[in-house]
Amino acid sequence: MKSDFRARNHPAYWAFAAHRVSGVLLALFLPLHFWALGQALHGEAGLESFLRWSEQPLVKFAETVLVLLLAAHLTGGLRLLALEFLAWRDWQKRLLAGAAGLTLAAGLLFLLNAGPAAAQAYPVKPVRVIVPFPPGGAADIVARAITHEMGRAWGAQVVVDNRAGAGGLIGAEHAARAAPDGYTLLFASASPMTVSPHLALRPPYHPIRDFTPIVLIGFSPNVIVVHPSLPARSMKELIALARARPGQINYASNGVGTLSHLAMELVKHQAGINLVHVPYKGGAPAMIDTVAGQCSVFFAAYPTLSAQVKAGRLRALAVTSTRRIALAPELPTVAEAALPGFEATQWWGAYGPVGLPAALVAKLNADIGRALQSAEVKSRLAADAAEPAGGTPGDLAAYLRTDYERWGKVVKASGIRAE
Amino acid sequence: MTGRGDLSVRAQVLLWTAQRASAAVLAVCVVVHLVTILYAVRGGLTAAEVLGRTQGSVAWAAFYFLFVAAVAVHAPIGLRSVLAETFNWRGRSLEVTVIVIALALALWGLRAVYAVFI
Repeated sequence: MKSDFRARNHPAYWAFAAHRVSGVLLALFLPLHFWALGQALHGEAGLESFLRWSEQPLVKFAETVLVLLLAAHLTGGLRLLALEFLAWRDWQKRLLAGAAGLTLAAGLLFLLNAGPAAAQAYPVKPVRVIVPFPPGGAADIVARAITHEMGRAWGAQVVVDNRAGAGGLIGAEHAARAAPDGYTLLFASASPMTVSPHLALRPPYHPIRDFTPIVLIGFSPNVIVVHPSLPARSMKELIALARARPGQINYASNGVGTLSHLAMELVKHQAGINLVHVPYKGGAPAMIDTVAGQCSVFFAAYPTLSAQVKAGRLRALAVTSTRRIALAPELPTVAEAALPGFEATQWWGAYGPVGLPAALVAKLNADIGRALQSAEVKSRLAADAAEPAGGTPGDLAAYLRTDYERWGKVVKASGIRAE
Repeated sequence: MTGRGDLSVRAQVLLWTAQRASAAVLAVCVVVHLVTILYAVRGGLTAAEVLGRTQGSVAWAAFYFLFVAAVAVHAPIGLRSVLAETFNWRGRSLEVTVIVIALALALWGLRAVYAVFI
């Protein structure tokens, strides 16, 4: 029987050849497949790392080859089995093998497209957006405006999860360790991604290696404010006062290692003054204590402070961007007011854990990008002098890398360490 | 000649039968395996959630044990025929090679099954 198959004029010759060739290749491939799966499941890295690895283009290609081999092997094998065991007519045997092959191929095509299909079905359960600062701060305000829009577009729950502490390190670490399935995202300001990791003795994550950038959310200038009881109406007056009363004026920050902390340390460094640092868990509690007069100076993103400044409970001295802002054109920049060359812009980005599937990244980038362009989010951000950004995941990756390196140099030059 | 080397007729029949029987088992197992993966991936289950369902399940462990056993029988017998017919390879060295391949498939396969179950 079998020798007949090998004859070129045998009706099942091609089924036989396909079965043999695919069989040999599968026999070589399967031990590797079993071994790699066993390694991933027994190793410390776990199955998630195996799945991340399997997202690589070369591995995807190998998987495609494997499933095509499997389809060829099963189709050819069924044809041979039918010839050997079934007393059917030849067209019936061909039909059996063809139908099985087509069914398998359809299933495999489905499987190969499972990534994009999963992205289309996403989200099928609530999405958690980690904000590594307390409610009420700038990062939280921006995140809530955008997640509200995302939830409305998806018809799904998008929950903001405030995980504050350690300058954003705690919340960001939590997001870095989550499964890369799109159901845990991070909306972070610049601090935990570009500043805090340089200050921590043992950073719990690497901002570039442990995250998948999704989209640049927006920018906002920082503002230096003082409590109205402090006799300083300009940056120059604040610096002069601090020089006259060294170590007697305190300043609040969003936390150790945040941009709010480091930028103020830069002011101290450049102006040669000594202010006492009072770190909080985020912008909101720092602002509350500054309004209450517990702290005299505060340096934070404009969205955190705008309402208090407008109400006269805090006095704004200068903005930290390179240009004045349209919402408060009377405020000079720190650079023009006292410290030439000074700049510390706040910005926010959306990230997933490393290994987020490309199809999901593309969907999230498009959907968050759309939310950023919505009139509601735009007006909400504009009310706080924040500008929506957008762009590709690559744009955020490039921006993150540049800012991460810039603050690394600042930290190194200033000698600031986490307290 | 059947291309089965120096084996007795009885052994050749045994191998022939084992390969056909394992092929029938594999045809079913492959379909069940693919449908399971499709369901898991398209349903948005994470790897941890998939493992959460398979771990401790005797039914899944038995299914994948059968799958791996069928692979460990089917693949080496098929490979043996190809090696014998293509390279005219006969004798003990061929048998040892095939047994090593069967053992590697069985051990590595069962190792993965064990991890999915435990």
